Amino acid sequence: MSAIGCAPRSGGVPGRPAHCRAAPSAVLLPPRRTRRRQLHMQINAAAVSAAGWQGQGQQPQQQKKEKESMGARILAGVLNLSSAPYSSYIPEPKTFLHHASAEAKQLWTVGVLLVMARASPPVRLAIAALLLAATVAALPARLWRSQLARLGGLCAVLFFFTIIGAEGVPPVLSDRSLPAAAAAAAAGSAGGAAAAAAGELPASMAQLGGPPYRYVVFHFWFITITKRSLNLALALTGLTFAALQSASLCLVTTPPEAMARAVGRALSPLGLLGLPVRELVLTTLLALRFMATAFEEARNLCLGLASRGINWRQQGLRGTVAICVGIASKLFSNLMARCDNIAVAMSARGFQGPTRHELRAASPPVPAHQRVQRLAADAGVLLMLAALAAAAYLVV
Amino acid sequence: MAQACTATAASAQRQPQRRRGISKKVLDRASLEVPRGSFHMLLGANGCGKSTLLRVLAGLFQPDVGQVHVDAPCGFVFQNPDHQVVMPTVAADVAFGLGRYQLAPAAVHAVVQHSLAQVRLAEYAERPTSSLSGGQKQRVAIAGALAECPQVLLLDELTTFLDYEDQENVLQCVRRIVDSSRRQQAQQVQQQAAAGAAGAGAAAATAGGQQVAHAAAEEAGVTALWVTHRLEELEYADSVSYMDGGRIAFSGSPAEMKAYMRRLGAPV
Ligand SMILES: Nc1ncnc2c1ncn2[C@@H]1O[C@H](COP(=O)(O)OP(=O)(O)OP(=O)(O)O)[C@@H](O)[C@H]1O
Ligand SMILES: [Mg+2]
Repeated sequence: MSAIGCAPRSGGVPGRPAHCRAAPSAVLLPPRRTRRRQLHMQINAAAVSAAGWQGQGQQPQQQKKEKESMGARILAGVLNLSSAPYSSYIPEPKTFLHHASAEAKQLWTVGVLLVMARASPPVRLAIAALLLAATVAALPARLWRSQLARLGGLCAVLFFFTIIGAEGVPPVLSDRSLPAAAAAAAAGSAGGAAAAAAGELPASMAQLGGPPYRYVVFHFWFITITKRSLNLALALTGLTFAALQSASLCLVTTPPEAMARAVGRALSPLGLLGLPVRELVLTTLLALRFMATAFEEARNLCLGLASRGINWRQQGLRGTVAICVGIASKLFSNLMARCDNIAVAMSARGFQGPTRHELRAASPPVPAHQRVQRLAADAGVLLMLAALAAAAYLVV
Repeated sequence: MAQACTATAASAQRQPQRRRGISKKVLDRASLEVPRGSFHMLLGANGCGKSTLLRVLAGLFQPDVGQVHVDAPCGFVFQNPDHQVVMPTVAADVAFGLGRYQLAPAAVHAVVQHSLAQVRLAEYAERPTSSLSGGQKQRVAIAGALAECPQVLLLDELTTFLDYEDQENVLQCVRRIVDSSRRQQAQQVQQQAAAGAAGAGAAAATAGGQQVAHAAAEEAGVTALWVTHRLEELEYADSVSYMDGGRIAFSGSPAEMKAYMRRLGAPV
């Protein structure tokens, strides 16, 4: 059978140097069941210590310590996240949105944003309701509940602060009242005329027979809510909700490859002007794939930090900043090393650059009845968009 | 028997930092021959040059001296599947290596389905790769290598990051691939021999059949070269080599290797 070249068989003879004899036994590892359990325990302990384990011995001091150890709290927050916080594709269960093509869904996302930006408040509410309904219909319950809870929280905070902040805060930069001297002069000369005019003018629009109108909707102490702030808050919240939720719906119901190909097709006219479209598409895909890896790398570094049980209060601000900078540079170099490995693996798989590499779909060739289904889904999505646009135009 | 991959007297210098001009001799007169259609394991201590030898075989490094012959095409699976699985969805990743060939979509789909079925992940085609376990990801990486219908599979410590169950799964998966390719080969040989016998006269037929059989054996099925640290994986192998200090110190059957290790003082 196989011939062994010049490699010496004398290696097997018992009279070998001691270090050679020791080598193989050092290599041999037992089955890793026990190791894994140890590692698991270590991770648990690390997470606990990050969440303020150090203070548990001394009850009275615990609260104070927790308040001060900002670093530990941030660490615990990062460690508690289980995966990268972005929506990834969910193949099952297949819904009406899964059947629509990526192009239609992208068009829908852009269209919804445009309509949302231009529409009146009732239409905005209608769009938000439509998005809500689509989310509930398209996603499994465990997903839309958490997703909507998070997004709802964000929107509520935005709405609250805009509605209070838009009018409630008095303008401090420019004073709109006349300077004292000018005011006195104006009062002296035109005082009589102004008083006469005030007597003739009606007190409100209602007396003239116009529809009732109140600019200030609500006023209490320093909180003033006006029509303007209400409108602004609705617009801001609506845009945020529409942007995040429609994009997330798209990502959840479309495979990333189909998404990237659709973007590539949309950008292909720009390719004639010299834009590297294929590079862009590949970069997008790699970014989608390795977002989770980068997140995991960061999480591992935090885990390492947490398991050391650093006393953040002792470090002070300078120490904390120094640790953070060190971790950041470590993260960067780790990610660079990973990039290197990924590049080697890609070239081992026959990758010779984006221009000479066709990204394969690997989705089955679509049978006739599914093509009809896809067309119907596309038409449905686009019709809905058209209806929204018409509503925005009509309902002013 | 014919050899699927041979590397003779390869001496590869590794250059960690080219700018500083430091180079290190990693392989030193390493000589390895692996029979076609076998599951061959390569054992050795940390840093003895196993990965480097594999990369030389895959053509990722050029040896300074020596000859390398590996049947083409040859697939490489790395230690960390996180680096090799590059697309966001399983099926698209398996199809990634096919990007350099001109293929119809239906053909790509068929190949992807077949490779995924070989690693028993057929129903995972549409799953995001980030939602897979370590062993599943490793099997996706193997499917990606299988999609190109390789003659040789170079597998670098696939089980490092895996727990005991995943380790068994991946090992059995590779064993199955080698076995099934061997079985297919045997069937083809029989069919061709039968066809030859039916077509020609009795005396000519036996000679012709033998010739066909010989030709088919020349292009026997998939050869797997598996690098590992773990002795308990030896039971899956057809043959084993032990590497030490950049050269192949011993080659033989798993039983012979165990005897050799015992002589070296390892608790086998
Ligand atoms: N990127 C690198 N730069 C410099 N030296 C390297 C690099 N990679 C490996 N080496 C050196 O080359 C030698 C052989 O490395 P190799 O990766 O082939 O070992 P190995 O047998 O695969 O070890 P392991 O079992 O740990 O994977 C080692 O001594 C190592 O120090
Ligand atoms: Mg190695």
